[in-house]
Amino acid sequence: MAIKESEAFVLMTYPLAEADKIVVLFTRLYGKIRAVARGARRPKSRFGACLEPLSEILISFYERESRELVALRRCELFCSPFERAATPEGEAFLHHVAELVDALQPPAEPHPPVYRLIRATRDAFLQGASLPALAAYFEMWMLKLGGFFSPLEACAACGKAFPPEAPIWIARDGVPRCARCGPPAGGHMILASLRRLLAEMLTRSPIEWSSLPTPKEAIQLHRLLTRLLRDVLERELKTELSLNV
Amino acid sequence: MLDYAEAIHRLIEELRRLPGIGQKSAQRIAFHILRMNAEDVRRLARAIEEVKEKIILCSICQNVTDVDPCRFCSSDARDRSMICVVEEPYNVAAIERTREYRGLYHVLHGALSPIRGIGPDDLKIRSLLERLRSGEVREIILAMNPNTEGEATANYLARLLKPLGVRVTRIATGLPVGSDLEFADEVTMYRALVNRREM
Ligand SMILES: [Zn+2]
Ligand SMILES: [Zn+2]
Repeated sequence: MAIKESEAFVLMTYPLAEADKIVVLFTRLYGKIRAVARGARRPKSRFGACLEPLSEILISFYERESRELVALRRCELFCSPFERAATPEGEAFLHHVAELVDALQPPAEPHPPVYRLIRATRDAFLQGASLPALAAYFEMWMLKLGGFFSPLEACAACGKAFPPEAPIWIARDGVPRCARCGPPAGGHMILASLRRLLAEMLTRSPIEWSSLPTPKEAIQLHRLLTRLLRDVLERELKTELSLNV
Repeated sequence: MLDYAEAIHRLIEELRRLPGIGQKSAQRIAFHILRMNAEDVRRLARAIEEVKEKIILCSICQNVTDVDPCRFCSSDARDRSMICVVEEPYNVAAIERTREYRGLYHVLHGALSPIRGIGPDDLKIRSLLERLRSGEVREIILAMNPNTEGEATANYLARLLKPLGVRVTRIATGLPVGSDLEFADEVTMYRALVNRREM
């Protein structure tokens, strides 16, 4: 039985037995793991606010080879998004981030760029970034880091570079096509203005990028990207942002 | 898994569907029931059936009850100008134990949680708003759990309720009694400071 240590983001928790919780964590060093936090539902629990969604914590845990669940030994809180999360919109955003990480990351595979993306997104969240814009940024990068989003520079069918002002099509697997070769079945159209914004995501931090789109553009991008995510996951997402804010 | 007789197997499977009961606990309980005498087993089965037959939700406060309206809603001794809103029926018992609160209750049956698929329409919110129509209620105390889901729910309700001209308060959160400042995490400490009071 070995003791391991890592930074981690809390994705979600489920009640277990009388006073315990099962915690799904995305750790920096070991990827996604499931852990048991003994006594976490008692008021004087040593886990305190550590196990709220998207809390970044330092954990140590025991790993037993025969078991899928590890036992959480100790938690230390690094950064909690609780104050902004305590509104319906904030909660919806953090649950959305947690759902996407859980859905797209396989168990026990570390992915440092995903870890850095969550951290940068959390920081932008706490700095008050627009939530639909921040959601779109996070969604595009999760698709890209999962290999589901190709650069939107040239048509995959005819090979020609896209003219700067033309709308393009993007297939359900994320492959782009020009207006002449498209539209692919079930594909999505992307206006030139949105394509430019998507390209800007590649070079900017979440907090910088979130101030670029208009509220309407942010919502359009968020809608487009959640449709692509549904295509990739082949199911509806449980979490949605309330977009009337 | 061992191949048990059909009836035992079925009991284990039923028990396993209960919250907090895994395969091992289900087996332990099943074999305990098998050793119990027939009268005790009948009493247990009747108690389970009765809870489903006799317990309903109070049409006013949505608390679980065997009479409608419940004993809180029909009592003359309770202060009708206050409603304390809680997530679950068992939270009412926790507040009653303090013997401090004399008002009425409202049970939401959950808290907002997108990831668990719980939205405003899944909670008993409409019936809470209906209770304000009479104009008798002056204060609503929001007693949701001090976690993200409870806090988001409290904020959601406060936005709905404040424009209706009712006083909306939230139970204080802070350091648990008997704990030590040294072990408080930043969120708990922050809230203890924000919710400080005059001495
Ligand atoms: Zn083409
Ligand atoms: Zn009642």
